Amino acid sequence: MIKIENLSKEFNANHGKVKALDNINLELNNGDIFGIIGMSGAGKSTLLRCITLLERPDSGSIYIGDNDILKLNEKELRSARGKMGVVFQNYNLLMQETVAKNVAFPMEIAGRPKNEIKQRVAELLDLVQIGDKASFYPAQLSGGQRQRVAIARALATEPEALLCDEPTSALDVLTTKQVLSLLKEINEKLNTTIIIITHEMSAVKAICNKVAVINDGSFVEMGHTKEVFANPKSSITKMLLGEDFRM
Amino acid sequence: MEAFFNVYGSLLLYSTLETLYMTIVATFFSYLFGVPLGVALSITKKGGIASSPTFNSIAGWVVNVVRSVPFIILMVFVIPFTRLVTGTSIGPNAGNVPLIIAATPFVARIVEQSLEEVDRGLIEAAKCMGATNFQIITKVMLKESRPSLIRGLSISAITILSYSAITGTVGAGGLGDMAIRFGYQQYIDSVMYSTVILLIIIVVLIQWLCNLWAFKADKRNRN
Ligand SMILES: Nc1ncnc2c1ncn2[C@@H]1O[C@H](COP(=O)(O)OP(=O)(O)O)[C@@H](O)[C@H]1O
Ligand SMILES: [Mg+2]
Repeated sequence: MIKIENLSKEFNANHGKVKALDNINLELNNGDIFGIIGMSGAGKSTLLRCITLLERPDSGSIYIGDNDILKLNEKELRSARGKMGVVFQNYNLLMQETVAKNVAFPMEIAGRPKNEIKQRVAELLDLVQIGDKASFYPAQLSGGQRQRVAIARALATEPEALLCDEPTSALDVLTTKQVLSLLKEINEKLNTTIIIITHEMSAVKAICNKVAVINDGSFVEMGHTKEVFANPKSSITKMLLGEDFRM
Repeated sequence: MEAFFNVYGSLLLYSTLETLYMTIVATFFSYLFGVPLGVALSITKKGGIASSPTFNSIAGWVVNVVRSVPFIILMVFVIPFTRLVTGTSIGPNAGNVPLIIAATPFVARIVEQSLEEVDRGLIEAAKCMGATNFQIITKVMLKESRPSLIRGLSISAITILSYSAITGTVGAGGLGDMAIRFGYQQYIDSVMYSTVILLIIIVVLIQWLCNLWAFKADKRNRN
């Protein structure tokens, strides 16, 4: 359902060009939880920003369903975006709006009828287990609760895929576990395809059925999580697995 | 004291109301024009949602030029335009015309500054959800910066108040006018002091009300 072909992206930095993504290829099936792991600066966020078209790649194609989203016009792109929900490391919630209003936001934008929105907000908040916090403001919530709101919001328009950029990196160990199991639950209940970008091996091990290891803008390894981790080939994967962690 | 109020009391009250009227009307119209201009300045910046360096530098230049003309000169300079709009060049309404012209670019900058404080990540999140630029402006930028916009309003209103006193020098009415006519031209110190005290009270009130409002409006304060 998501297919990426030969994706490349370069940035002009003050010390010259940075090749943030170098010929990335990727294919996801419905229902996958796909982990993309790499160290800081590897190009993970850039990849996600390209898929959400916050950043225009220099070359390549990104298929969501049958459409290459790079070929859509503004209006088509806006409706295509409803098929993807995005979850960010720092939540990116509207701080001046209530939890319910935050979750309603993507539906309001899409012009859904008011009573439908109201009902769906309640359902979503129950799904992420914060049904009692509807009238709270984000400032009144813990990090884990805020990320639950963000996940509910990302699911509001019934997306086919959920894209998460370091969704647990700002959270403590226990909260991380809870948020990850929530993602897993969503994947099973709603059959939502999930991409999780992270630098934490434990997150990938916990819930991803497939994984790609990214380094310097390219995938150095990709496959089923169990196989990749049972038999790591690249030094980066070994290092991320902690085998090479000697000083 | 009683004699003073018998002579000047009603005039002071009338002038105070005139000053309040000018400040409120001029603030209203400078926001009516200044908010769209401030939004335009903000979104056309490099990295903004409607980035346009050409528009941004032209609009920025116009704003800077108007802001750098001393108000007293601007006031005289726009008299023909004032006559065209209000049919006269004296009185509170006539005074409001240069006031609004001078305050609009000021307000635009204040609004622009408030909008700068809105988290870029939030705007990107809205984009990911398929928001149009108009939705991003109204539902994200202006909404999220509300407390800051309210604090900016107090700065603008107080500046406009002090400018409105300057329009008094050309007979626009209000406390400034009264201070000039009685205090400065007729050496009646008590009138001068009274107008100053009244102006200070208005300033303090504006500041206090806006601070309270901004605090109440800011949902980040709820703990
Ligand atoms: N807007 C940008 N301008 C210049 N360089 C950038 C920009 N965004 C990312 N980069 C560079 O691209 C590389 C990959 O960054 P990023 O995708 O953020 O890495 P990660 O998320 O894996 O930590 C880094 O070297 C980073 O400095
Ligand atoms: Mg990153």
